[in-house]
Amino acid sequence: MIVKKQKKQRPKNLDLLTIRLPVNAVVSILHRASGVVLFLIQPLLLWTLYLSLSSAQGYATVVTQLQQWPVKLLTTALACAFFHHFYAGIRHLAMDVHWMTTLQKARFSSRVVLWLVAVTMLFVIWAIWVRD
Amino acid sequence: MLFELLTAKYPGMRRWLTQRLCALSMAVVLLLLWLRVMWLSPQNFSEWQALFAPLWWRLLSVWFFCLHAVTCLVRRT
Repeated sequence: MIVKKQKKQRPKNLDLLTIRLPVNAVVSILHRASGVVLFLIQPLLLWTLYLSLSSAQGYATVVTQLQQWPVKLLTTALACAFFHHFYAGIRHLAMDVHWMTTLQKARFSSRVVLWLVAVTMLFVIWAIWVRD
Repeated sequence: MLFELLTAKYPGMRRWLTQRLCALSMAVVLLLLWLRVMWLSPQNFSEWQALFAPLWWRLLSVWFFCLHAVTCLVRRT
């Protein structure tokens, strides 16, 4: 009976705007979110690949479309999702073989993932927006 | 012990391992794609087509995209 009462009095916080996720939780939830995005965009990517390989004309269409700024924006966002999913996925695989599993090390590897994504994205942004 | 873990007695272990192995092989295929693009650096249509022309590469691509669906389904069930 006492246990029940104590359970009821525990503080709850379900206000999404005040919940602060720790860095490893941020990396984890972004891994799932980017996975969903990448999975849902797959038909479009496959269709683009098909178009670019089907004929010289289709290839030219894809090349010109990729130079439009909305498409560039989409490519940048997808690259961000992809690289986050890739790096965070490798981190998860490493943790599955019991590598970097203490709290401190997990936080460190989360920061490494976020920095790797940031550095890669700088390169991607340079390649998409500056070099062309 | 290892083989016992892979029997029907422990379905969770099989799902977990399938998902991990799929993820690992997808990472390897992506690395291969990156290396091939770096190596061949296609500049026009025929070179782009040549990148995807080999049969082993096509089969690997199918494998890759099937894997994606499998991994997702395996994680949901």
